[in-house]
Amino acid sequence: MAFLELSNVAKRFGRQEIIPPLDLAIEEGEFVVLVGPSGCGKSTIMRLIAGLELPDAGDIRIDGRTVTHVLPRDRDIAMVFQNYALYPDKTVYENMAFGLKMRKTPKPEIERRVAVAAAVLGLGDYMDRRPAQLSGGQRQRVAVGRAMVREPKVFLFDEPLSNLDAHLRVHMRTELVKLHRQLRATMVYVTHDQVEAMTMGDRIVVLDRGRIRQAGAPLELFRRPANTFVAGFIGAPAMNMLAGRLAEDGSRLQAGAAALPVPPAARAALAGHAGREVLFGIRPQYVTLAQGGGGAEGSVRVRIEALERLGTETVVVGVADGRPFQAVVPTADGAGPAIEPGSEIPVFLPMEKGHFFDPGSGGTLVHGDGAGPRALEVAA
Amino acid sequence: MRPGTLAQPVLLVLLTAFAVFSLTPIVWAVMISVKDPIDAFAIPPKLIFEPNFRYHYEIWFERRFLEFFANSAAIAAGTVLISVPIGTLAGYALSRIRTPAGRSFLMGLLVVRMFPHVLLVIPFFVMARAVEMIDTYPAMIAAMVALNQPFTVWLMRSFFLEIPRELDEAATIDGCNAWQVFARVVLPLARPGIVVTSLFSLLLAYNEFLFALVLTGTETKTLPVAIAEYGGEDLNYWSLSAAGAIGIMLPILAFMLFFQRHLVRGLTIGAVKG
Repeated sequence: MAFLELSNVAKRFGRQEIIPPLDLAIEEGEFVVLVGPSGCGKSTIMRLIAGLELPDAGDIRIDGRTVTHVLPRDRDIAMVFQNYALYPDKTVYENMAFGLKMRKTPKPEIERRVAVAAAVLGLGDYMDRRPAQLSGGQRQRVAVGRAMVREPKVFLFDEPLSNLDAHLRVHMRTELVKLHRQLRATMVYVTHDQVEAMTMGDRIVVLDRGRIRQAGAPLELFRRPANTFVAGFIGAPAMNMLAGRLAEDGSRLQAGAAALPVPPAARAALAGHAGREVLFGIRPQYVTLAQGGGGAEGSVRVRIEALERLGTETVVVGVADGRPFQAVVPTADGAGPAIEPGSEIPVFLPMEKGHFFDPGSGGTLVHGDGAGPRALEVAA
Repeated sequence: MRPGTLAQPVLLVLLTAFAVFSLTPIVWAVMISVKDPIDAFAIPPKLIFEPNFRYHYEIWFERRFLEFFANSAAIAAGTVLISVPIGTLAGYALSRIRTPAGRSFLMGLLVVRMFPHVLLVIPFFVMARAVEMIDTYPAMIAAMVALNQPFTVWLMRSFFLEIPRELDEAATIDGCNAWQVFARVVLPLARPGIVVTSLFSLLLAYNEFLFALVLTGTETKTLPVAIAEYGGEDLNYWSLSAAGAIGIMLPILAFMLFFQRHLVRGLTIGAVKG
């Protein structure tokens, strides 16, 4: 039995179904990130775990105990809110000690735990300050400290970094990962930022309209997306998608003017789709500038609309076969072919690194290296 | 040029004009209250004169002003002590529980508030007489609470709406029950709101004339009624009335100065992002 388990949990707000019946199991000590676009239900799931919302159906269990209708204070969870939700009239110490005080923890024990948390989070010098006297990053750390001192069974983080500036966000990301390693606590983290999800989670759960579209290790999701939604959501820039028709013999994919060779390893899995439309997805990082004039098998022509020069790399933003297309290429040093907005260039697609999707359901048919979609990946 | 650079002096002139317009009657009343009646209405107005505090002395010590003030204060305090706690509890509940029933209740309160007082005063008089409570504090306090309650509920609700709901939720997770969330987390943050609401409630009850005229008598007469009765006795009327008006104002002014610190908002800054 998993440490934190949601079985058949469903939630509606009025007539709107926010979470259709959903199953989710989280192991003890795991750092699980719930990620998805705005309105996908990730915060609702977190609030259901916290007990701030009650499910319309299903059960929630923490450490073997059913807590579905248990009050938040009796669930042994702690939560860090997006806007920190610090008590503005209380000092940093009082904010951190409040939860323990309410639970009638002996004073020496409160002092010990607050001191430990303050040392870990570097808050020792700010204990007498009020939240208004702290910077965004310090407030965020107080919010984490308030959760830490409780020593809860489950930590819940509801987009805790989204109010911080980019630099601080990267720093706090590392701090939270370090904290997880230190505490080995079970943590559930909600974010809409796929970079946060990729860099922090042991496991990522990708949500779309309340449904789990895929759950797995970060690189697993990156390398083996179960559907076009996950393929497009995980990874930046987003995966390129080309629509094409498979040849009757399954050897080629005709995408507009481009003839793309189907890797031999993937042909067997695509046999049933011969002569039919499929989607081919490939990450911009795998696309390379084609040598010579292009036109060779495996290359497509991209009309460049913009260039994002990031230093050593340049993101080519353009259109291929009427669809948005991006490529991440080394920044030109003058030796390579000239790439300028408005021009058209051939790019080479290493087909074995791509993915074939069913255009109807969006599900993965086969990965370019011949691996099929795994049943476990396609949750719900 | 920055937007608003030109608007600032214009705004300053307009605000100064408004301040002069608002304060002139008060300054005029102060002057009349310390002038002899002949000087009070001299044309052109006499700006240099020897102040005479005879009328202030008269209203406070010879015309039972202290007694009327005590009545006014008792009724105003009673009104605040009953209507503000009710308004605070109801305002909190209505700020957190947002249901169609809650919204209907709020609109209902607004309708009660908008009802012309002159239509309510007769039923109140009939009811108070039926229970033999005319000329008693409870009758006047009950009427003032009934009239003020919609206002206190709405005002307190608006203050509670500004306190982030996440604080309630954080406190719930921290181990508070519903009452503890209210008493230990939300209420301390609503203090400026409570002070403001108390002040307005106090002013409404303290300045009430119509209900006081009908429901009070010799035992519970309030200041506004007493001042109105000074009229027409003699030439000193205007000076006495002006001294009375200043006399009514002074306790409120002192009260406001005392609580000025609490009227400054800003405790919730830092609760959320920033």
